[in-house]
Amino acid sequence: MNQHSFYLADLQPLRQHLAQWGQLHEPRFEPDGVLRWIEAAVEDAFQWTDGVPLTSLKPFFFAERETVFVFDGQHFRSQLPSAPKRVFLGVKACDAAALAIQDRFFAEDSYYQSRRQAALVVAVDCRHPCAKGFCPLTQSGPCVREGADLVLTPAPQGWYLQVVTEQGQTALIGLSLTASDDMTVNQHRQETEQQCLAEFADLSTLATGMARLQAGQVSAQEWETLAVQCLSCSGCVNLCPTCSCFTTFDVTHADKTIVRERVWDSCLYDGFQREASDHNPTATAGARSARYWFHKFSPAFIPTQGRLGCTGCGRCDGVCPTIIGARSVLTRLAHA
Amino acid sequence: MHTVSSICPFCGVGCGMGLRVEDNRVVAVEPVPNHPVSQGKLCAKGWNTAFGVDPEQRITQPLKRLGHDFVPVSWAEALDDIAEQLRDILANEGSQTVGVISCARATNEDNYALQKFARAVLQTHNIDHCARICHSPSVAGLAQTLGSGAMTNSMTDVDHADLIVIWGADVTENHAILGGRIIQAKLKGAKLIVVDPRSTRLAKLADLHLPLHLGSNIALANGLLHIIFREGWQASSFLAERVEGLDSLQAHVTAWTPERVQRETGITPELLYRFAQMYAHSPAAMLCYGMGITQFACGTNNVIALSNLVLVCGQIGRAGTGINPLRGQNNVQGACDMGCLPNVYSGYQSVNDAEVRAKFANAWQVPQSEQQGMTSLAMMHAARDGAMRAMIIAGEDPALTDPDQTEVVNALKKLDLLVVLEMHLTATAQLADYVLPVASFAEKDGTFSNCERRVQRVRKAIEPPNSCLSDWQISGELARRLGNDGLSWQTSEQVFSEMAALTPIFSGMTYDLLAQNQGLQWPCHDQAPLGTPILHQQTFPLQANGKARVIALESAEPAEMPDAEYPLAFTTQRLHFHYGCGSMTRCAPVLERETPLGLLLMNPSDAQQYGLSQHEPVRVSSRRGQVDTRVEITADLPVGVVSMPYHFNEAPCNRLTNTAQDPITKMPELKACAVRVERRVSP
Repeated sequence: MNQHSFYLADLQPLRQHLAQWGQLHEPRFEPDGVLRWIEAAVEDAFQWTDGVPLTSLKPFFFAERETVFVFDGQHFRSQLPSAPKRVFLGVKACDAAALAIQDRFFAEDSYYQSRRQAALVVAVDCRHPCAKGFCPLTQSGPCVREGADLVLTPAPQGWYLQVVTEQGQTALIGLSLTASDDMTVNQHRQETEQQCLAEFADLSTLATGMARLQAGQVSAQEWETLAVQCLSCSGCVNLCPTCSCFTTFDVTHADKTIVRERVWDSCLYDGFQREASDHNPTATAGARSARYWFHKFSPAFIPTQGRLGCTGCGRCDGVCPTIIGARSVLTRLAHA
Repeated sequence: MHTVSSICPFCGVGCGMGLRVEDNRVVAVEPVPNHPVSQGKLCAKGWNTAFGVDPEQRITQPLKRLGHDFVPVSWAEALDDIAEQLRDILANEGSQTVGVISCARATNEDNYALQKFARAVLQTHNIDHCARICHSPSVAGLAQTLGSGAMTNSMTDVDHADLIVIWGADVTENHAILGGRIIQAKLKGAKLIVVDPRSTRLAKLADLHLPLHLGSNIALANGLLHIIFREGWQASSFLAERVEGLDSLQAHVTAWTPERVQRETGITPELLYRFAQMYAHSPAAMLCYGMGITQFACGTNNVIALSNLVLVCGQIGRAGTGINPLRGQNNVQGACDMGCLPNVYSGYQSVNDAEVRAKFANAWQVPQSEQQGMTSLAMMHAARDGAMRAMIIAGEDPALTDPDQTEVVNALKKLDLLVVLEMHLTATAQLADYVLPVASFAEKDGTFSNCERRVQRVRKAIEPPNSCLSDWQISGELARRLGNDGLSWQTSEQVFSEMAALTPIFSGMTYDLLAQNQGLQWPCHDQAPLGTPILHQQTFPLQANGKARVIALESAEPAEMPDAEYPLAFTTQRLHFHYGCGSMTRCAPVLERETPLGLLLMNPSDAQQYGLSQHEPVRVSSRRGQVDTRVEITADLPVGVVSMPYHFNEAPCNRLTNTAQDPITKMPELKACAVRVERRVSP
């Protein structure tokens, strides 16, 4: 790759350029007060928003529900989704890291990949901690680590732009940019990160909880006590940017056509791992909770996932009806 | 992909729900972070909503019975036929031979339209809905003591309570998001007391759990009052100012010594004392109850017993207090509010009041019947006896969810005309002469009222499949064919406006105001333009002097107690993953997978006594019928009591339940009967 780093006085030329590449998506507060990924109009200026949107990018690539094949009685037919080209601008470090995990998990999945490959990810470094996040604990932020094609960093005046992937490089062709040297930008990003880290509230309690979990010091009884609170609603799983479990089911239509659909699943359901014999390796709520949080915080998964399963976005704490999201769980484990 | 802001269609908590729409299909849902009740959370049912409204598993064309089969017909043919048959029956048999059962799942607008159809078109007060089998005793009981039968406080009040009492309600399973909020309050330091024969999730987390004998609620409440009066813990100045009937109640409970209470309830005097002490001394104690109070033959008295306790301790009219019935369906509050009850018009305006009748006769331009209307169960009995000839049932499944199903099925089969408005071909729909396909909540505009009296906007996210209509539109079409143009609204907002204009407690509500305020809680009128989160702060609407009433009560055992022939007490319950008759939740693959293999829940020591191991096939029999299922062994059930969830048509537990009724509301005793359990040898 040639030039890596650029300086932008204003984001508008970049947005106008990328809007030619694909439909621009940005996080915006909608009239109902909820921050969501929406199709952004290029003439409306980019708005910086603290924190993460209600959902990560997961549903854009790993569909909540999609047809895998149709069996008409004689033939199986399957069709890949027709994916529009989309630019996601304003992805935070945590969600970009999560995307990297999903990309590895779904590397061979043509449904996921057909959507994913039509997307350009423009991530942004965070200058300040958000209200719920704890990305430093899981080394997924506040500055963008991976998962992005392009990275924006707020500069003293304007922005720095760094190119990470070839796709990012290609997407910029035709846009006139002011070059900047990599050293300056890297140093600026490091300073930004240090300043942001200094502003974070003390995460040592969470770290203690995580260390106990990682060391296998949490007893089965402790998990059971905690999991009495788990309703198996699947909210944490659904909003978790790194959860990727799915199941399939068949719908038989009146004309005997069978449609196989793939839908999101949750390992917190009793039936998730129940075997045909009715034996269940994780028969209790405590065992399921333990597995779930191990998957988020145990380094044993780093070889396959590339990083810890939790990116510290804080969504599970907001969505859990009974207050056993990541932050709450780690805090409780720390105080055991 | 875009998101349409709406309200969850399942329980009475009324969580905010965003419908994620792609190509005119709800592909998924999302929680609403700034919703006042749900604060960005949903339960398992809510998260799986998209499957329940999926057109692929729905009826999307009117069906007409032809012998044992249904044939699809056009709307015009179905509506013309139904109207003609109704006209004949009305002309030959009279208005008392027709009835309507409305739907606690449908919108307020649908319910208002259906009761108007009954009263203004059929000219009968034979209109009822399933509140009959969930919270009619709340309406009747609290009407006698407080003057209003809904939650006195708001769900957010759990955040302000020092003590939360959950009595006969399995909140985390049935009102999960409120249950979560209770757990949150408990973690923040509130005390929690659970009264329930079963060891529910909240019971496991509670400071006190009182596993009373099934159906001994009045004895327990009387025992608490005995201690409170004996110790002088009653709220004397509150009682002097705001409550009547104290002397006779106080004299009555003198006889309810803790020892006597222990004999009737199984609760030790020590536990009873601690409960009384905590409840009477808490600065703010909030009592919530569910169908473990109402679904008894003494359901109305059970409600009064709780009301007595609340009033004697003055735990009402303030933040974090009150007596709070947790209602089962998304809009069962609304169906009651809209007047889908035989004895009241919308806003609880009494049918027996000549002035009220005159007001509606004038507004609707149709004379109003003076004849008493029938409850749903009375309609079923009349159908069985041949006195009821035609029924319209909207979105309810009495053939599965009512007590003594065999009788319900036989009664419905005897009707000359059964019209069912449904999304799915339920057990009841299968008995119909005509099945009319209705739009799901995602396909229409309207309002739902949650159990804290909050009226919230439901918004159309997608077009209905094929030709499905809303219940209010069907009511209008049938009315027009029967010569009444008064139901020919063009929008749901017009229905709401008509209702609000005729209903004082809703008079301050408009669609715009509901949207701006994320819902408004009735009463909402000139004196309370932003609604009323806490009722009864100054006075009670019971009588002119503004005072509430306490009423002395005798305890009553369930009508059927275990005996030598049927040695086990039997109760019913719900599961977090399923809802009502399961017609929506069972369409969701991951929820269907959560259905336990065994649907008869039994304590391990009972299982041992019967020689049953986990998931062994069993036959459960009562005096009314039998059900084959498998046993699910769980320590959550006390010894001697077995339980079944009622969502599953393969094991319809209401074949077993008792039809003994509450004398006031005709609420059947669904929560207690006696059964026998035998091992089933597979053929």
